[in-house]
Amino acid sequence: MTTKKRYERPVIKRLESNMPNKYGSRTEFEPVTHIENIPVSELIARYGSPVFVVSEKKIRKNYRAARQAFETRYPRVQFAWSYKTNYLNAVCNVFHQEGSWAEVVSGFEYDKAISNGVDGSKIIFNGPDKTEADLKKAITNNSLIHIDHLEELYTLQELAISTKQKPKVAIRVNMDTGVYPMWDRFGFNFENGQAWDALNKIMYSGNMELVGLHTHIGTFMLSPSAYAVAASKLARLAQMVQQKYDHEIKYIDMGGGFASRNTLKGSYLPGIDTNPHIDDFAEAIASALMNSDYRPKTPPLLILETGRALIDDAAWLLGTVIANKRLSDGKRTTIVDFGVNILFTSFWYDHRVSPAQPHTAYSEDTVIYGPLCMNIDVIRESVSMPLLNKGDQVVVHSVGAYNMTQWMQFITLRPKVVMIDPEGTVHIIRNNEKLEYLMELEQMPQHLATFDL
Amino acid sequence: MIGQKISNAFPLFKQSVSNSYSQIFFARHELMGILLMLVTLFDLYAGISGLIAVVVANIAAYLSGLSRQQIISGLYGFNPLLVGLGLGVYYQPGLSFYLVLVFVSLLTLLVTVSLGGILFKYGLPYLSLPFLVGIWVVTISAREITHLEISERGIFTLNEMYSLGGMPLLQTYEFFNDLEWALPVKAYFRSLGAIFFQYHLFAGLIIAAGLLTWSRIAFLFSVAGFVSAYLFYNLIGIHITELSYSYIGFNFILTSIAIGAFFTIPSGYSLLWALVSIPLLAFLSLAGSSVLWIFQLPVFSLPFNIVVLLLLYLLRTRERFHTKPALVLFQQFSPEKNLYSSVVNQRRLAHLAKFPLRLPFWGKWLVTQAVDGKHTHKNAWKYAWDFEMTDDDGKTYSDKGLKTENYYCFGKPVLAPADGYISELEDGIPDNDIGDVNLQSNWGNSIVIFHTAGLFSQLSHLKKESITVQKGQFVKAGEQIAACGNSGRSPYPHLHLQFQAAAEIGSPTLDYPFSSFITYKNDKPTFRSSTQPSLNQIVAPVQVHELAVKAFHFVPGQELKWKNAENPALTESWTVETNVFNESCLVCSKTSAKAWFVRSADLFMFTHFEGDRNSLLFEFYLGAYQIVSGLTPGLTLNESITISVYHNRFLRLLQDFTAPFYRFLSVQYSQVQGGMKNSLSQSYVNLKSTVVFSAFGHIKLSKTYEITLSENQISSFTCMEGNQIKRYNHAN
Repeated sequence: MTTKKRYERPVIKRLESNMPNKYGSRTEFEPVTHIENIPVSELIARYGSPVFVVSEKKIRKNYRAARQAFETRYPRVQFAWSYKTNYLNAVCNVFHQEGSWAEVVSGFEYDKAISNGVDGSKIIFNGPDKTEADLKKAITNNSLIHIDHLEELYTLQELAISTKQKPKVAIRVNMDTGVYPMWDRFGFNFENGQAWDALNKIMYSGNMELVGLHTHIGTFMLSPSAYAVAASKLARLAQMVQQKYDHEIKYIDMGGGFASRNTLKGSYLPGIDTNPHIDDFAEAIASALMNSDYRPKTPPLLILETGRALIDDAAWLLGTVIANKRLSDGKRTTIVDFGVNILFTSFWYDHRVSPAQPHTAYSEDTVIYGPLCMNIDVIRESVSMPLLNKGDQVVVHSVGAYNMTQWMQFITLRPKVVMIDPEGTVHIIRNNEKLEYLMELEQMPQHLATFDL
Repeated sequence: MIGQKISNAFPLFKQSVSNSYSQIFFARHELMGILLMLVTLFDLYAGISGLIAVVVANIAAYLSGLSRQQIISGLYGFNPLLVGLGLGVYYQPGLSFYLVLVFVSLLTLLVTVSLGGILFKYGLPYLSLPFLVGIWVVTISAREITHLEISERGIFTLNEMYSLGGMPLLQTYEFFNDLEWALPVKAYFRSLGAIFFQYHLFAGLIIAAGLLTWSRIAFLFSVAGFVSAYLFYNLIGIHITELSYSYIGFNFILTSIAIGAFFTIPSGYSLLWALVSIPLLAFLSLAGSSVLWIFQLPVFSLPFNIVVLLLLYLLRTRERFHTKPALVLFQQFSPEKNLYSSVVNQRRLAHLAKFPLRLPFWGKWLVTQAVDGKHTHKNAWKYAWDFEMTDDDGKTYSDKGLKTENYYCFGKPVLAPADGYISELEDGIPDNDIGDVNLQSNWGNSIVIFHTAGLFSQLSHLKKESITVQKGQFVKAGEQIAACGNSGRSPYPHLHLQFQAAAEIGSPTLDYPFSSFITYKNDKPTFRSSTQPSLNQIVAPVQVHELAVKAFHFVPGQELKWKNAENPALTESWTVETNVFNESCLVCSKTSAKAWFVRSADLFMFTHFEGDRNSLLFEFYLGAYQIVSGLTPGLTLNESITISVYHNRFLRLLQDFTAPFYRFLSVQYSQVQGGMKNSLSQSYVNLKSTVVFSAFGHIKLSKTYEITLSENQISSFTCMEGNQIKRYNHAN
């Protein structure tokens, strides 16, 4: 029996007169037909299209590799899961099971961590907007409060007096680490003395316990050496506190911002080849701390809040081709059923998109559009793709970070998120949104309840 | 009054006397001492002269400033005692007799001290040699002392008895004499009696009872020694009356106890050695009797002394088979205690005498070549380890592993395994490409650290130019000194570690244990101490944690107070005490029970317990039997506790009889470290221990304990047995 060959549209391609080589000049695509040994088609059939797929195994693997990278270079290391990167409870709990604390940046995230069962004393509370109620809660729970500005410092001071409790605090320090842009909007500046000033205020107040120092020098950092600069500056501050007050800083929190293997827009080479590995960051931070002059009796705990680098490549977005179209300038476009509303990171990255079924070796420069009726809804502006038909399935790689938190309900309803556990069983960890769910919050003034068209 | 005065001037006078009696059987046991004293008093004058000799010798020893500990143990008293008993039996009492007795006691004491000093250098005991010197000297010299008259009491034993205890005693004596027991049985008891110059069955029975209360094992060996002597005599055709009537039988008994149960850890091997000594004793007693007959001297315990010294010297000089049988290193004056604690402590406490060495890195590493390895750890260099790192899948590299940087261990910090001075280093040898080896500089970049006399550690194949220390520099344990590399004979990056006795790079290796490390199996951490990592183990060093260190740091004079959680009126308090040997213990203020403990770099350990086993301190001894100074959530620790703490006394007594060969009781301790709550300021941690008492592999009793540490102290202690829960909170 002969099977019917797959139809692919005809394509005209300009002859490229490069230097010939033995590999030829065409781009090879590998179809990604399975995620963790489960066929993409099956996942879509069972959970709909589009669907986010998270791999528990890969999360654990990433976490352990990161922990190993730091633990073999520095004696005391603690990770804190950055909730804003992905705060689906199932994802958080995988990290908590592995030993991660929680790092939150709002009262809502704080409550989420508590409801996940994280002990209050293992929650790091960051961010510029902590309400008085939030702070009170954090003080009662012995959480680690990272002060962002003087107003917060004064509020804490008042709360310490009124609640008669000693908040555990750290300050967030920003500094020049030799990279652009310099993140100086959060915390206190190192170079102009604000940080030292804040530390003195805390130490003199006597009603707060200074437990740590925190910095977060940027996001998607491509230069590990910046972390070395940051670590030595924090160690310098710790040493100054020790000298002046004979007080030992208990931890140094280096924040996160480690690049994942995604490719930033505008990069010349793919991120997977050029972005530094977590080991490079670990090496820079650990050796800077070990080489610093800060020598307390017990080395301070090194806290890391890395989010993206641990989760990004542990999730995929599966979707389906809706239509193909040719633009006025002759450029090919493919429309898929997921847009920037759920793949927010397509604003930042050139996401790798793979077809999920076999295809021929021919490809064409294509624009991938989402399904939204909005001009901004572009997944890839220009990508060489095989010739896809309606109903073909595609896999977007490395979508674990920020998408499942920054996504928005816009035009379409948000899809299911499923997790494949290490045994290969698929669990729904967030159901798709339904109309009722959205309507639940809406209220209709009586006079608008009815109309007659 | 006088007793009061003596005990003021000479504390523990009574112990020194009773121990002098029990010491003849190597024991320090009050009840046994009293029983033995009773036996000597059957011959009243002899008994009294023995007692006088002991008192004179002990007071003389005390006044001349000899070690009080030795006097109290009866080590200076037992030889004069034997001399006094012997003289009391042979001579009539009278002024000149007592005069002679006093000075012979002093002579015996002097001989004891000097012989002790000489033999000490060879690690040997003086046994009853001073007694032999004393009694022979008097026997010979007495021939010239006209005022010393030979006693005639021995001839008219029954008259003596009658005058001492009237008809009832005589009847008892006759009853035992007329017993229709087999000859060897009677001979055994008579021989026991003969040790105290009491040649009758009754004395022997009481002595046997004393022996049995002191030690079941010693009793067993005494019987074994005597029976085998009896069989041997029959076998080679020496007439048995030789044995029964010449009263040399006790030589077999004492030798068998000494060699089989007292100076060695009792076991099948020690029994074998005891049996081997029997024929030697037989020859020595026959030959000794003949030779000494020239001087008309009895041979007494000479064969026992010679054979025990010869055998002990041999055992001490051994180069191999140190445990077949093992010598007793810390004498507790009880074969049972020696045996039970050696079973547990031989390995458990071994590291206390060793320099504390830790793994020279942070985090988990894989042992890819261990002692006696497949590749290079051979012959003189066999005590060495190679370490590499793996990922979750067990691979040692990422990508294809074609570059040194792909290997997880490459460039990772290498730490000093212990404090020391850098004695040798080599740097500048390039790191090899993967698969290549540099046979010219076999060891590659290396560091040798001098820790203590005869102990160096060598770290090799280090990364080029990664060494951050200089020759002669002092480094602290855990300080980073270099990075793992691929130099020298190293086809792929790994860290080589060995301990050696010399400073040169590549010296022959030394078999030395690590003080502690953690092994991981299926991600479950288990604590190991005093041992070495083996092939394919995943190992990590213990990270010492302040909380665990401070909570179990007991300072002499410190008082630990406890309050019952349900009933705050119920309180307990323990004080920390230290004795002259620098041994520390917790003392219960209610019961004076003592729990002895030691501290090492990585562990807090209780070593033994004495006193009331119903006290809370006993529960604490069990529950906090061993505490690791580091905190790793989930860390498991397994250890055996000595059988002496077994709860069922009857089973314990039964166990004593078979203990040297087969132990059916066991007490196992295990502990799991709970998760830490906030490792920053108010950290606290739960330690859950379980003590399981089992007989023949069946669990008979299981106790659970929970210890909470917080604010640098033990904040609560809970014991759970069945449904019964006792919870005590710290109350200072």
